[in-house]
Amino acid sequence: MTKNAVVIGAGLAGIQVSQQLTDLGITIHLIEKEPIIGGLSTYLGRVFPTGDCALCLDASNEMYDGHHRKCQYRGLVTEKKNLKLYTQSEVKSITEADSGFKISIKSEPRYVNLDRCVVCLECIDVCDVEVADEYALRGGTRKAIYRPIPQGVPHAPLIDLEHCTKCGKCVDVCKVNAIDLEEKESSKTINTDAVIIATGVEEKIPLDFPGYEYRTSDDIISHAELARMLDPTGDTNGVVTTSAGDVVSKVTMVLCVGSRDKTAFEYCSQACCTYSLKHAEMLRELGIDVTICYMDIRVPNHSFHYLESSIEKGVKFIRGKPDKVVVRSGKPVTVVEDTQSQKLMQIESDLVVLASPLAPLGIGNDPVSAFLGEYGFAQRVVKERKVYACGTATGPTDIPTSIAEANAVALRVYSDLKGGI
Amino acid sequence: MKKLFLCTCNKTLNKWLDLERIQKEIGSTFESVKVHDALCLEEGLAFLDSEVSKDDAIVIGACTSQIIGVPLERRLKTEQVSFVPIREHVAWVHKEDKKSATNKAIILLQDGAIHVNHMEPKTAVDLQIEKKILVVGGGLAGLKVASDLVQLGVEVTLLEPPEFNKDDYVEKNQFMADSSTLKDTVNGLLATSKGAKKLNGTVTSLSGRAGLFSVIIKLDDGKEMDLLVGAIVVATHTEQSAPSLAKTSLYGKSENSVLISELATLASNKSGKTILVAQDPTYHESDAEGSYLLREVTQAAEKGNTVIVAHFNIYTKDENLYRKARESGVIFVRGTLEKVDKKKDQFVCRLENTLESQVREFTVDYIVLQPERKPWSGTRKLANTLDLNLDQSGFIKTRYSKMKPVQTSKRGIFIAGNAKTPMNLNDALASASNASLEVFKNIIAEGERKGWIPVIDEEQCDLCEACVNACPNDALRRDEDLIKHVPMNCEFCGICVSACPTRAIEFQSHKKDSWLARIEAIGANHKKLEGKKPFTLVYACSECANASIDQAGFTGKGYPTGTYVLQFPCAGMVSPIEILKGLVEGAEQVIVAHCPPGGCHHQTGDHLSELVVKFTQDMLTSIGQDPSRIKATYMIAALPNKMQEEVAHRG
Ligand SMILES: Cc1cc2nc3c(=O)[nH]c(=O)nc-3n(C[C@H](O)[C@H](O)[C@H](O)COP(=O)(O)OP(=O)(O)OC[C@H]3O[C@@H](n4cnc5c(N)ncnc54)[C@H](O)[C@@H]3O)c2cc1C
Ligand code: SF4
Ligand code: SF4
Ligand code: SF4
Ligand code: SF4
Repeated sequence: MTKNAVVIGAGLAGIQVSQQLTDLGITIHLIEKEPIIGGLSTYLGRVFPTGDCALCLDASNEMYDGHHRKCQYRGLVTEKKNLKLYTQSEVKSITEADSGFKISIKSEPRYVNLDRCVVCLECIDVCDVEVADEYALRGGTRKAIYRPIPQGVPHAPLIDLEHCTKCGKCVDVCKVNAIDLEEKESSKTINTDAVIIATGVEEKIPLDFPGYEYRTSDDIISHAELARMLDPTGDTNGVVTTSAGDVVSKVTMVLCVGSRDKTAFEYCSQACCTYSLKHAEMLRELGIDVTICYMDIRVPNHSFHYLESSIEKGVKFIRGKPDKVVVRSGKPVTVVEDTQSQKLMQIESDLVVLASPLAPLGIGNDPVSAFLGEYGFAQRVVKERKVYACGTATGPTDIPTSIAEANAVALRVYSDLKGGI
Repeated sequence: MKKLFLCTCNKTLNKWLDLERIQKEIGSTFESVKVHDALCLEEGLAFLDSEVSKDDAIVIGACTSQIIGVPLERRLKTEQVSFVPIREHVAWVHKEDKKSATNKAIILLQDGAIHVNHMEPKTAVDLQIEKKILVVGGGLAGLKVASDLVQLGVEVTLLEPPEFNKDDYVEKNQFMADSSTLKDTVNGLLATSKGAKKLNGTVTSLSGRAGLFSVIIKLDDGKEMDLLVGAIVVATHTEQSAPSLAKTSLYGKSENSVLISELATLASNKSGKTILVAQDPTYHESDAEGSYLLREVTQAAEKGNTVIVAHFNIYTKDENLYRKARESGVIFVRGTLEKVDKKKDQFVCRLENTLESQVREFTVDYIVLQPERKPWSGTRKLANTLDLNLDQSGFIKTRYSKMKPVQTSKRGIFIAGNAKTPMNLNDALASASNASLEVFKNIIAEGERKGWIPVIDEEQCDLCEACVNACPNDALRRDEDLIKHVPMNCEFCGICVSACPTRAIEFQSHKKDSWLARIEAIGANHKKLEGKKPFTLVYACSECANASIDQAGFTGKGYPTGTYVLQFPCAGMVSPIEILKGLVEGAEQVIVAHCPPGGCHHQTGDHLSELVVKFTQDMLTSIGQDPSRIKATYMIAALPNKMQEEVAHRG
């Protein structure tokens, strides 16, 4: 009998483990709460260690001979025979049954039929409703029927019914009858042999860390927000601006905001040092002045070249954790004691970027959180032969480590379910 | 029969393209022209099913092949298909100028018609694979690979290098985890990998291909053995060596100056001593080594010693180790050990802060150094034998560090654990299982692999071996007076074609004649429809560059009409001939678009195409022509604005 597994979370780790297992002949149900797959990577644009796209996948044996990595839009996830993707879906309950689990999921309606839509984008064109775009930082908008990001998969748009006026214009232009404004949410029960948790992390919005006035100023931002501005398809077309709309010339970055901190997140978020360097380098290429305030710079060997080239490109480093970032005459000022010179410095800049912690997404989400351990992260093997986890669901880390772990877990699941050749 | 199918994409493309004129002007090129409103939907696919037979050659004018090609490949009865992305490459990027956009569509569809003329059926690759595996290295990762694969029923030979010593392995690799965890893991793996055949010896030569490697091993007793294996996993260990600080800190001169691996013994014998532990600022340590340092200094402090750590950057994935070290009383001081003076039984240590000339002095009983972790000393030799690349630190290089962490530059050979970089236990185990997975996938692979391959004309071949050297995948070999192709290793990139000085290699379906005919026709048709308007040719690799151009469509990043994209399997296939031909046919600009630096899917195409363009530019300069008419650049999907930036016409 063919074995099957449920993967919760379609970030890069969830996708990778699903791809590998389908290639090994296991049927996968991949459950994602967002309308598009990719998780954090949908925000990132370009990533270390290779400087290419965040939305890149490793090819699978079934498609493209497992030869090369491919962009997500090339159908790797949506066209595989044994991989069933459920977007806008959440797990409602997980109950142990005979030899596996019964998993019930609930899916929100997209109002656009994935099997009918040809992605002509006409509906988006005719929609009159414009609302703030979640992926935009500087006032960009989207329609009520929209595609979150250009490379987003599945390609078909979705309707944000909260803002939709049901004017029916999109329905009229959609001659292939893909739009159904009356679509209802649906439920499904899946019998499965194993569960793989790949619920990943989010970049914590730094609202509650005392001292950093993230709440008061739109010129104090997080790295995911900076990534949106650096994206040439974002609302600023790749130009880094202040909230007043001016082109930025000076940026200060603060590392370990809320991480490695007994009063907030005790652990080190692992990836922020390196993506700060990545962003610093990208900003330098735009001619922007960058200062990084840090405690330790933790860069894995595969990305050491980012440290070298940041230094080479003139990024300034100050060893010290800022006590606070304040706003003075409209500009953020970082107050930091340089622990090397023991001087108190006040750095005024156009923009301050905070390296906020990577916090587990699985936590607080009921059926999933039952499997989580310390700090809300799971073990690779949560329950022998039954429940597994991979990617940042097991701890904050970068893409290479997430992928390597997803591969390792795929092998483990396969040998537990199938036993061998 | 040659047939054209056009898709209106939900009756939208006619907004930007005059589909009627297209049909009229191109009608005579094809035996039939059919228009559909949704070729990619089930009804469209069924329509193609009924319209296309096995012997037809067809051109699809619709969305990008990357989208419609996927379902079509499963449904179409013919392999002779050329895709013309009139949506992403034409309609969506030339919304302002319907006439020229229509002209461009006509020109590209005519190009598609020539392209299919030259198309051949793909060649099937012999996938025979030996279901036996060789693992080199008997440490943790090697044992894990052996254990994984033995449990999956695969025959494994585990080769331990001659100098490898099982008995002190745990002791020498304490940087990976605390000693009891490490010991338990190794013992567990020794038990579960029992089914593997264990040998001691050295690999002395490798031949064959991925899936069927022949390895010669010189055993420790001097005998040689020949082993046939399907894949090889290199799981060699690391060695520690004294850091550059050794001299300053009198390491080797005084027995009280030691490496961190000796700290535990030192601290267990003595307490109440003052110990300075120094990091070397010139060495970039891994998280495993940082964690190790923290574990050791904590223990030493807990034994009642005063421990000072002179550091500049401590890397650990376990913040609690840092905390525990502080709690146990370890004193952390930022700075570098600059000078050591011996004073009786003690050392006077001068710590300097690199930025500010701030100096502190400590008088201590012992100096302990964080050593450097180097690849096993036999790594270079092994890499030479197996034909693998090394990285800057001498570890074996991965093929692509983001997504292919265990693949090497060579098909069928993988790396695991510390062969790649110093790793902690957890990461090393993941890395090993990752390698096991790749090996296993190869072993159980079913179905067929097909592609267009290079074909060598023996008459024309001078045996210069340029192609053999250029092929990034070891898929071409000299065999006496012939160059032979090894399809299993081949990635169908075509790099060999551009390397051959006598042009003795033809690539199926992408023959020289076909490129020249296509470029010529684009030039002629452009002149016919657009007159004197300048035009640009973009020779794009079918991986990242083509994706970037597709995404330009999705994001509406328009660029001038009169820009024609020709897809090459890899930018490394483009030679000066196609570039010059483009100029000869009147192109104002020829752009070779490749993957990002170091990111070529075929390993070397980004670099090669830059070289080819540079070389062609020099040629142009030397004959008094403007070299800026040609350029090479990278394009990726995350930068869909690249076309817009690169394709700007002068005047
Ligand atoms: C600003 C920033 C920049 C970064 N830059 C880089 C970089 O350059 N290079 C690099 O290597 N790494 C980088 N990282 C880290 C990288 O993004 C992560 O390592 C990686 O994306 C993690 O992938 P994942 O699949 O584990 O998790 P995620 O991407 O978080 O995916 C988890 C998925 O699970 C879904 N999910 C969660 N809970 C549920 C549920 N209950 N039901 C259904 N679905 C659920 C989520 O919606 C999400 O799609 C960066 C991170 C940030 C924040
Ligand atoms: S829903 Fe209809 S109109 Fe909208 S993109 Fe899909 S096919 Fe086009
Ligand atoms: S990765 Fe760097 S910035 Fe992030 S928490 Fe760790 S030390 Fe701080
Ligand atoms: S260069 Fe490319 S196409 Fe030619 S033999 Fe090598 S892998 Fe195959
Ligand atoms: S294959 Fe696609 S996603 Fe991957 S790096 Fe290239 S362009 Fe980007």
